[in-house]
Amino acid sequence: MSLAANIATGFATALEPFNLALCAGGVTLGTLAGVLPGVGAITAISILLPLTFYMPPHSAIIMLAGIYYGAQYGGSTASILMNIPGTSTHAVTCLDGYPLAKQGKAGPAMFISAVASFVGGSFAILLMMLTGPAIAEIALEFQSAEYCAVMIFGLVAASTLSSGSPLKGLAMVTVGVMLGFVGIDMTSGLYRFSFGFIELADGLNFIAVAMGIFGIAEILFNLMKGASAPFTIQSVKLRDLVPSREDARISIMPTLRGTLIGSGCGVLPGVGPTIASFMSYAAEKRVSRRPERFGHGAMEGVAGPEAANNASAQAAFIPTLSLGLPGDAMGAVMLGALMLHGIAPGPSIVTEQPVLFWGLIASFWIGNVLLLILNLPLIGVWVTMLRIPYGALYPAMLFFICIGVYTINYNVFDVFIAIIFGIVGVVMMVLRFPAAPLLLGFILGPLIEENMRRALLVSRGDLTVLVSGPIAASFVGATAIVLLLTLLPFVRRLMTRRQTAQVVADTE
Amino acid sequence: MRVAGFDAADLAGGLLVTVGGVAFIIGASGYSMGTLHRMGPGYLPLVAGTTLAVLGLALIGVSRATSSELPQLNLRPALAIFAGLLWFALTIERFGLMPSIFGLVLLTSLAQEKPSWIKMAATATFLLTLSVAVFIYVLKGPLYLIRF
Repeated sequence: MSLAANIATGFATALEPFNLALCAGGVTLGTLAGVLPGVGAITAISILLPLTFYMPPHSAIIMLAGIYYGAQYGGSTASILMNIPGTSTHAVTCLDGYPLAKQGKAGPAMFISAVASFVGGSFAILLMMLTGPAIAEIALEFQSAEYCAVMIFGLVAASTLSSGSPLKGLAMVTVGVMLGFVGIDMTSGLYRFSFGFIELADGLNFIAVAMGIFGIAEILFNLMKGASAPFTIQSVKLRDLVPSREDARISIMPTLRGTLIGSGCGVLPGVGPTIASFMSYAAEKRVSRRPERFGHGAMEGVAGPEAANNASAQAAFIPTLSLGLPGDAMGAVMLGALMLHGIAPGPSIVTEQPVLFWGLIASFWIGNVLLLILNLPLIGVWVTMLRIPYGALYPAMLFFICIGVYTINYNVFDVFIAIIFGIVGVVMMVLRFPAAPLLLGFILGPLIEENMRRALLVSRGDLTVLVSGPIAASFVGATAIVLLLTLLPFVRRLMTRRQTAQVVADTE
Repeated sequence: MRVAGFDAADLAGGLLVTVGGVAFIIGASGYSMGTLHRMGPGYLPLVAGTTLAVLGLALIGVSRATSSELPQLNLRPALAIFAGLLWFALTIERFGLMPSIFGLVLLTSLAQEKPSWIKMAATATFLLTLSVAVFIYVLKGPLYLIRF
């Protein structure tokens, strides 16, 4: 089908009243999740995931995706008004957003932030329309060995390139892969690691694991850190929003640079919106003729990162859908949702599910326009929402998590799984282990096992099959380079410690 | 907890990961390995277990040579929240939505220093109305408002 025909299919799908309503509902909820500190997009999505069972897959994904990019818009509000990032990706926006608010320029800052978000998002959607199908076309030629190499690269990159300790990331990916072993082994029919629970035949319930590790753990961790200081919120009126000509002018180039940085970060596994916005901020500070303004209310410090995190959030859908390779926890949740609907992740989504792929893209356009409307004229509504006390909010969120997990199969077993993984998640947070790699390993692990077994069966146990062919070889090579680059500092540190220990021992 | 010469969080994490890896190896050794040509159900679990154990040892090895303490955490929220969640799991089928919602909101609200009765009542009533509408009337799931 031609691009035009595909786009027409997409809009025909996205404009169906049901899908349109879900898109609007998704972006609205996403904005709300973004606006409210302590409620992230992933929590909002895990709460709504069970409802998607009652919808066709393309409608489900339209809504879930809307929550994700909607949160990227909403997150800047609390950052600017209260100096508290609405989601972790908006920490950078606080740096200059809050000083701007103190100067009475909260309105213009939010206006610039919304427009920059729109520009960043739009560019990444265009990129997805142009490159997504082409990537999928190449990937359709993949054999088991190539899939295996690509997925292993994805896991290693996602766990080592994200912020934090790469060793811990790798450990969490491995734990995720292990959790994926639970259940009936496809080849032998044997129950693995099921501890006699018949409920584990199909493996651990993905939603229960995700809700435990993200939903429950995050709420608990917020509470355990202690209450946040009371704050005052300025009210924002519509006419305060319009930025001055000067503010608008200096925001143009940062927005464009942020868009490019964000798009680049988005397609790489593990390098999500958070890193994109930090990189954009650093870049703006470097190219600025007066870098001393940063941190004291520079509009560029809001425009760049906001464009970057939106572009990154949208661009992340490119590898997730056209390769079946999620780059972060959100991508994993999206693919998990599709798998629950019986759609296998991989390039065939683009070719065999045109309604899903192009419908989603069309919904991105609609959603981004809706978000612009939601975040500009209706900004006052969201500012009011900030007054909802967390004390009333978190019991409700916990209930939604419980009832959501329970209603998947109307089985309490899943609730217990979520509780157990809630404990696991808290322990991980306390010990500073990242949670996203675990979910990625859990989703991709079974696929890696299946493809590796198939590849080795065809090659009669010859391991070199995994590096045969240019694509597989280059992905294995890239994996090795990533591992080498991220682990080298650790090896070096280990060596110096041994030397110091030696010196200490010698002197004693 | 303070262990001289080590970052407490990294050291504890490394130990935990190593123990997890070893436990997984033991679990996996019960399944047939097979060969590279025809992998049995135990082959990759064994590889994964070994990888994890090695990563755990590496984590212990590089846990920073500065002593730092685990963050001081308040245990009250943890107890309150898990009590609330368990209450939900144990009551939802046996007693129905109303007792499980009120119990969950009450118990989880105790995570705060000064829980407010008004907020609790408002939240619980809101949740009950919403879930009766969604789960009993719209989705018609096998859920009860209240039963003994």
